[in-house]
Amino acid sequence: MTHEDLHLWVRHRLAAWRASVLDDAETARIDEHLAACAECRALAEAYAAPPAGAAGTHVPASLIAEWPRAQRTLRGLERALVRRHLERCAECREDLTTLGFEPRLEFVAEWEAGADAHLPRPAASTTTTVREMPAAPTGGARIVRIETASARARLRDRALIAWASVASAAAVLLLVANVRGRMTEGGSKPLFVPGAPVWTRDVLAKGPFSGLSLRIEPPPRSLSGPAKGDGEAKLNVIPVVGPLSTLALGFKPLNVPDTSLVTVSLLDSQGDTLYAVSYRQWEFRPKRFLVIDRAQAPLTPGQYALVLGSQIAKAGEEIERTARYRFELRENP
Amino acid sequence: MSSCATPEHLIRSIAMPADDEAAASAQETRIRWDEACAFVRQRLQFELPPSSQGLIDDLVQECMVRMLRFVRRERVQNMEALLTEMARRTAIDALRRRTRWSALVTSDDDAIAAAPDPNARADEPGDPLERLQFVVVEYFTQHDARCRELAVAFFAGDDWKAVALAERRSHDVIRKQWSRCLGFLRQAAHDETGPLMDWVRRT
Repeated sequence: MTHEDLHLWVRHRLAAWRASVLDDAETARIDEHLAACAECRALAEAYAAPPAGAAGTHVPASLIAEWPRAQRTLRGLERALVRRHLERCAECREDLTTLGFEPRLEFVAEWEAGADAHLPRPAASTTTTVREMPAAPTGGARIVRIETASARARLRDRALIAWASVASAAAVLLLVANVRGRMTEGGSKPLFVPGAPVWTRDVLAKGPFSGLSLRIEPPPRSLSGPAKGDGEAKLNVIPVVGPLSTLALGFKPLNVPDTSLVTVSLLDSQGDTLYAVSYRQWEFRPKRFLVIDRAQAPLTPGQYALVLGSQIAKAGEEIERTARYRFELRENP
Repeated sequence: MSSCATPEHLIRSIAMPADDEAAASAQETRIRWDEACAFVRQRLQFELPPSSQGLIDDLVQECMVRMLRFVRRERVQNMEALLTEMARRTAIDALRRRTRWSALVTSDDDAIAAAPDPNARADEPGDPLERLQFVVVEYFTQHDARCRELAVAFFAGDDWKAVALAERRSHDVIRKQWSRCLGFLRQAAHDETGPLMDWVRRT
């Protein structure tokens, strides 16, 4: 390799060198060259500061900002990965929607030729699902959040009790006043009738509560009898009436350290992954449950599996921890 | 420009709910995004050289996406200070990005040595390092959770020794694990074209 070739060789690898995706020999070679070459060192300094943002966990803000160009220019593995990420990441879709772009990346076979072959089977099956349903945001199951069940329930209960108390008192007052009015004054006086606040659409759109949305979560279904390793898990039967657009599942978290990354996967009866998402272990505590939203493509009756997986280290060795829950959405006759 | 907003103008109400998590999520709807947008545009016009003003529309978008992501997670105490800092960093990143792309895509040695043209714009959108990091993390998200964990930890801290310490494992074990992960990635990206994955195929 000539001296000029070495310059180019190094410069074409600066991003990879900074991202630490080169092997040790290549990294050492670049370090050595940068120590000796002031020009290449100056270019490497452009990579010195880490990029702003969440460092790889979402579609880069710089790419979203130039989305029309990104749609035209992304190719290969990167395009497939961005497309799949958008299919499952509500935040990135919302970012695109906020900027006025359609929150999906079109599948163009010749632009992604071969990319799927290198991706793991579960993810590939997800892609198949997406291709069959072009509206990307509606494709896979979407785990929208982990709710604190106990806190929510407490607040909701308190609100309901308070509202019921006020409503009862108001009803009594209304009845007494109405009876008295009718008996003593012939009911001619207007009565004070307390009622729930009524917000018009205009108030909701522009008023002090704009952006507010209220929603009643479904009751969580507890899953039990997980299988560890390759064992057969107990089948939890959940009676349903028709397809479910929202499903809340409660389960026992893995016994791993709080900082461990736990991947939660929802599999269909064929073993294909409908959705996978990772959380830190501490996010599952205390008493939280998982809400799966599939408004546009409801979960149909059938068997599913929820798989929790994590890897922890003990004495320098990796120990894989998994738990596999099986459940069936069974049509209630 | 009338959009030189004060913090009080940018957030409709200073009073936040007591709970931090609720406050962070409520911020998104409290912010006057149109005024924030105008404020960022003004800051970018100040930060960027006149020759780079053509980039401002995209950079305003980028800055607002970063802002949106930030307010979803963090409680903002001083909106004006945050917007000013974000605009400054976005401007610096934009200038740095041009140098990054020029190193990756140029094949002529003399052209690389020359200072990047401030009017020039890379054909490729986005930042190459951010894009590469996304490819790495997203690939491992779908391929191997353990590799993903290492990638995210490294990209967040940028130091394998710190990652090893946090994982309570030796540096060598972490490096070997990462080396195995990279084997998968290299195999997947072997047929890739384009400057971003050039490191995989060229020897």
